[in-house]
Amino acid sequence: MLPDPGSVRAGGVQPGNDGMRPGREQQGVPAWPRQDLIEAARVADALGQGFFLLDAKGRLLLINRASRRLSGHGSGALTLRSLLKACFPTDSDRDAARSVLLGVARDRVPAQLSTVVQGGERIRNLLLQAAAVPDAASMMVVVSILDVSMCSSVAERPEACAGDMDCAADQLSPGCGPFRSARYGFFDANPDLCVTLDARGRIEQLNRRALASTGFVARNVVGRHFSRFLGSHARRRVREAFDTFASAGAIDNLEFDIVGKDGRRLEVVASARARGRMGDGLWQGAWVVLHDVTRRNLLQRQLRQADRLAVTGRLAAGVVHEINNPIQAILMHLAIVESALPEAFDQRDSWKRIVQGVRRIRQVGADLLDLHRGPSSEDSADLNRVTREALGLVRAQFRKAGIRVRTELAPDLPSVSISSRHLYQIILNLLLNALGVMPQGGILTVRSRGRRGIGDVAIEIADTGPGVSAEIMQKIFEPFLTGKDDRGTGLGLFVTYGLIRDSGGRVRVDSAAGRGTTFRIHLPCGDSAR
Amino acid sequence: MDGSGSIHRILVVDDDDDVRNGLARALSLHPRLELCTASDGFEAGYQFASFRPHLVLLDVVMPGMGGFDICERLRRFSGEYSVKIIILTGFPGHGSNEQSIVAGADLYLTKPQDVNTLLTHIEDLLGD
Repeated sequence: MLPDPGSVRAGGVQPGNDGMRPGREQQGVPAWPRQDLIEAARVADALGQGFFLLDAKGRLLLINRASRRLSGHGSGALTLRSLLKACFPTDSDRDAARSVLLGVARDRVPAQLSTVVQGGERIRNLLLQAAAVPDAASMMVVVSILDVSMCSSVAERPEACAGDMDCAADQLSPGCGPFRSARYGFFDANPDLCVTLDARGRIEQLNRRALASTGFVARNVVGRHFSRFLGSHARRRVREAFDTFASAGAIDNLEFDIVGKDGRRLEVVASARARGRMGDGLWQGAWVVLHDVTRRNLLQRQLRQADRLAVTGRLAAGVVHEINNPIQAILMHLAIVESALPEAFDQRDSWKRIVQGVRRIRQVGADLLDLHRGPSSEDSADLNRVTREALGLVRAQFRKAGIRVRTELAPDLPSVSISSRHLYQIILNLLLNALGVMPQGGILTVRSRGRRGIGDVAIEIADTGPGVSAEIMQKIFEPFLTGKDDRGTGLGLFVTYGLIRDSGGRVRVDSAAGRGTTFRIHLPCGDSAR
Repeated sequence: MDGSGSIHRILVVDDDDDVRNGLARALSLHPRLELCTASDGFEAGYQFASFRPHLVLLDVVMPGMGGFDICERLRRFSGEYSVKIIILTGFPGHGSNEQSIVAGADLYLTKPQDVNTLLTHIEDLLGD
């Protein structure tokens, strides 16, 4: 995917010092290499990112194909004016964008512009990131265009990426001279994590976004093999992909996880392009762009879970409603038959089992319907009082199981916006859950937190049980999931989740195998201070 | 409720045959209860006038006239004749307890209920 020759405007690439930065030539800095710019544009093109370069007067020096495609610009001659016209719908927006871009050249302070364009049938949200090119012989601005339609909001895009060039340049290994300019212009104007690798896969350079996201300092990372930073699940898959890289020279949209400082995990979608071949047929290295999708994936998972639970909840309630009538009939007929059973009936055991079975079905239905019972007229509750009541109810069972209960209830909590009955049930369900996971004893910690006027009140219920695996965690609130023996209906946490959600609250679970589980529930305040 | 004392007439209104007949037969095992059934609002009105029940067990979701509607009409037409009404629903929805109070029911219960629990409630309402 080479740049459209027509898009590199004739004479656009400045041949040398244009006098705007006197003294550069005396320092022996060579002219801006045209080839270097083209390579940067080509890489951006291959990665689907728009890339263009302006001089201080707003003349378009270079533009790649992706810019044309993203902006929806036709095939006509490109000028900054026509490009902005394609990107910004109104005259005033266009003028504002132009003055921002020229301001970047003048003040060397990066800027960011967001716009919505319609290219064909698709409406796209574009993000333009502009930064002055460091070390350029002339004043130049490099602008990257990214399609951020997939992101939930522009605010989600990193801001650190547009960080100042001088600082970023300081972290680069010396010796690249001005050749690095176009690359790092592209790099630092890039809201994604950008990394260059050498022929052996060792990290050469990282952009500011990569450093900010991973938490690393450049000197601790540069020179190390990229695979050291892969998550354990990703290692084999990514290595395989890079094996084919040798022949294909490209990797597209490979999703995996990387591990940053202190074990922080990032989910990324990566694209890579090879950099020029050396004499022995090996690539000189690779450009790698990693798009951080951690947050997007998290939101998607939460959305999927909420969706699934909502559907399951409706379905379950429907089923329960349907079985209420037959169970009512069964209960009546059981009573009728029971009254007619002879004293010497020799199948008493089977009879008892039938009755127990019906009772159990009835309990499942009652648990599920807790979600759909009418709200009581009461709409706020005292969290500490309800917590103490619920603890009082199970205290004996906890003592019997050898579980120590620690309570840290914050004084003077505002009331929470939920009925006492529902709150009681939420807390009781979580306490019973804790009881179920600590049959050999342990410590249960119940903490409440919140201040008047803050907006929500939190309660934490932590056990020292075996914890849950990541796999179970994904479906912890799903119905009929039970890790305990047969006693539960497997609906406790499902109902809990529904009640919390209905009250406008939220719940978070922290757990890892062997580390116990903590449920943290935030409920909106019922006070006027809310 | 023990076996002595006066007879109480109970009308069971439910469109579900199994439930209606089950309730009627199970409750009629009690020596002091006399049972009668209706499967819709129309029949309920007829039985109410002819059978003169002391207590009505009323389902909510039925084709045609619903339980709350029937309850309201029975209250309006019962005049000085005092009847107790229990709403017994299989579809407890948001606010249906409040609705049952507005409609004039004495008690709101959700299905399924044990015979003994039902008998206790009936005894509480009818006293002796």
